[in-house]
Amino acid sequence: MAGPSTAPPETKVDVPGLTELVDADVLAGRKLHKRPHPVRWLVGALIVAGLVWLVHSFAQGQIRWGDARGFVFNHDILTGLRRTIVITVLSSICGIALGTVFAVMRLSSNPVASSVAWLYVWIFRGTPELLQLLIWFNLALVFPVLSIPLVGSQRTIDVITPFMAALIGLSINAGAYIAENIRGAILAVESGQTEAATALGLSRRATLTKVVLPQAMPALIPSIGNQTIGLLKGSSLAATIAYTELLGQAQRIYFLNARVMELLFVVALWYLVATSVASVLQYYVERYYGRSERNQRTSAADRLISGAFSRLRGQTA
Amino acid sequence: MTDTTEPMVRVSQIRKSYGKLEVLKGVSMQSMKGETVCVIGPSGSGKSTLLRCINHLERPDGGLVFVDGEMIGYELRGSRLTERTDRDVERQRRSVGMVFQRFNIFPHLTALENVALAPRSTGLLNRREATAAAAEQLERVGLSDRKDAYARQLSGGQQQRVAIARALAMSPKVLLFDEPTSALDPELVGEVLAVMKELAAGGMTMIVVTHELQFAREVGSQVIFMDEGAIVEQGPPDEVLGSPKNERTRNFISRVFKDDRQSADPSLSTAN
Ligand SMILES: Nc1ncnc2c1ncn2[C@@H]1O[C@H](COP(=O)(O)OP(=O)(O)O)[C@@H](O)[C@H]1O
Ligand SMILES: [Mg+2]
Repeated sequence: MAGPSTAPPETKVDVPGLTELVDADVLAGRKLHKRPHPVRWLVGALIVAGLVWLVHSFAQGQIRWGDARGFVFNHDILTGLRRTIVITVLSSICGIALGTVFAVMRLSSNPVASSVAWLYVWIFRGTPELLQLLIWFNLALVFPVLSIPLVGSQRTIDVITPFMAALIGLSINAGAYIAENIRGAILAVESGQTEAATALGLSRRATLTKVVLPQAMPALIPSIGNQTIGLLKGSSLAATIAYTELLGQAQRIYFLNARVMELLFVVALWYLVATSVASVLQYYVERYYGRSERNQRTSAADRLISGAFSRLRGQTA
Repeated sequence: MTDTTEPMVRVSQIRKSYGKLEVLKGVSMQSMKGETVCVIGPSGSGKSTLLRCINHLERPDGGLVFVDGEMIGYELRGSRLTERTDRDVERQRRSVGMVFQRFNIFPHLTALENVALAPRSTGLLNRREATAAAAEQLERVGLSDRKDAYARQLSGGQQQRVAIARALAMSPKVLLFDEPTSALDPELVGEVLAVMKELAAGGMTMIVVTHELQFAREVGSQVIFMDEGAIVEQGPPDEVLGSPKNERTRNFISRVFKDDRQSADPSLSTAN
């Protein structure tokens, strides 16, 4: 940085008639004030007051917070948490596989394939998830023995355990929603892309996997992420068919000790932890698939997460 | 297969309807090896549909297309003309390159990946060869310094040049251009036309749908004027563009020239 330092250029604001009215800071080009927001402050204060009151009443209520704290790392609760995570991961993998297959079938030019895919979505999106779980769980009532040609046969109760019923039910249900998401994302890719790939002599399969799906991905990840978070919570329905995941374990405990609300709050806490972790994972996957359109749009929440993480990394480094 | 009297592209009595709308009413044309055929005509006259029939993106209702002597899209089975298998049609499309009005660059791939994708995934070249060939094609269109750019980082003219390189990478026997400069800002038209002129000079067989009459005049081996799904007039550029016999051709040409002058001279276009 050699060379003579030059004086900063003249920055004085010079508007005739104003000079007498405002302070020196303004004339030096500084200190323009924000518009006051009295209503915003008032509303904010009211909301905070409401929240304080809510928290206060729960703190005063008939809840033994000490007991609740004790259950957070309870062995049975952690077992339930592990089962919740396992069933969520497995059924979202199966759901994505089913969804992809049925989305492609739905878009295929084969009328039988596309009708079957339509039927699948119609049935499994059109009936309650809990009902579907109950039907899978009680399959033994109609088919006492399951037999697959060339594979063999088994007693239905042995095959359709509560775990299997939950896995099948949750996967098939999620698959129906994911199929629609994938179909929508594929249709949203500009038709010129398919046309260009086709004109180059790419096969339909290559067009789908190399051109269309990669472009559908950025739109797909948020919705599949939401599906997975939905599954995380939806897996609690499995408690009703005797699969003792997180909620099921909590119920088993409070049937014995009657600390109902304490345990339900512990369960809520673990669900929040799990969904938060899932959201962070989703953020990274989204970022990976957004490479070719980096720095386009980031929501405030995205910036918050990425900011928090870069700060964390900065501290550990 | 290449023989000097057989045209590289022969379109014979192509007919195509969408529902009741007859878009092509028996169109016949041909292009010899190394020729540049320019197709002009008003919007909706069926020019794009004609091009799309040549690479079987569109299945014609009647008529035949031959490229380098090979029948496109159909084959004789016994005495019946039957549509070819997907694999066969895909193979045939590889020898017919196409460049679109809206570029249709793959936005998730870099320029180099755009060009390398088809040779690689159709098994024409391995990864290393495809990358090398893609770099070569990008150089040919003057973009060797933008290999790693994504579509959003490229101007329209650059995207269209990538699209040309992408088509060239399959070593096609013929290139189809569907209004390649119509979506470009006026100042970017020149760079794309320059690349096309070079290709023409290098002996590429091209069929170019365009409103750039100056280009048609300079580069075209023949000019075809289409209207309402039929060829109204065709012949050497000087005849069709210089002294058109048909009144519809005359009207069209004077209209395009007027538009051209207006868009070239801002004082005229703001005056009305
Ligand atoms: N896929 C389609 N379905 C229905 N009509 C179409 C389709 N493609 C083109 N057309 C119609 O065919 C006519 C010719 O279209 P096109 O070949 O694109 O003309 P040009 O390229 O000369 O402008 C137009 O009237 C257009 O609306
Ligand atoms: Mg057109």
